[in-house]
Amino acid sequence: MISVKFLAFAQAADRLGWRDTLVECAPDETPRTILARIAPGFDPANVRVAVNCEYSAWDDAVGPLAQEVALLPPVSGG
Amino acid sequence: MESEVIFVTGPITAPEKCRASREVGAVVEFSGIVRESEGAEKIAGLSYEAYEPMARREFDRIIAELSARHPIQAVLVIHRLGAVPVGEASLLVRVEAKHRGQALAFCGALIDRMKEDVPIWKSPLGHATPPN
Repeated sequence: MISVKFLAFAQAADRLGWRDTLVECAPDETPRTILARIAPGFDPANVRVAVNCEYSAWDDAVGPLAQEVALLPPVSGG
Repeated sequence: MESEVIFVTGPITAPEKCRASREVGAVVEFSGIVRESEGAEKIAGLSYEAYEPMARREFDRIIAELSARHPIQAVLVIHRLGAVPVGEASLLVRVEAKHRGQALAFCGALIDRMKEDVPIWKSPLGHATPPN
């Protein structure tokens, strides 16, 4: 098992009610399955996911080196 | 090619001097200013948040990609975070290149790509209700 910090930003943080939380998970788990466990009912549609500051796919394993998983709603900088 | 990405929490101050070589023939500077309306709503300003480590990496990745297509001498990006009142700048991009076409193309493409991939978000700030 590994400890991964989940980060939520903007509307994702508003919907989840938290901005970061530490999660114990297996390296072969995916962001989708982990999120379904820690936030049942959260719909990740329109939310992108990043692992260690790189965009990833919801159904790819987080991997043994995962330290941060970020939930990123549509961006609006500028 | 020089590139610098800076996040600030106060007003953006543009550096006065161009930093690249005497080969620079074009300098394009873009400022994004907070408008007084967001949709149909009048607002007091915008609040910006960023996933800063990833935002820096995304800017670096985008700048590297774009510089292969539009060769430039230097780019400076300053993005303000936190509350930005109406009328103040939230973003400054300065691009220096040999020719105007490269500078203009790079600047426009960088802002387009930022709005697709760089993890920065804005939310409107309402006007405070005056006390009774």
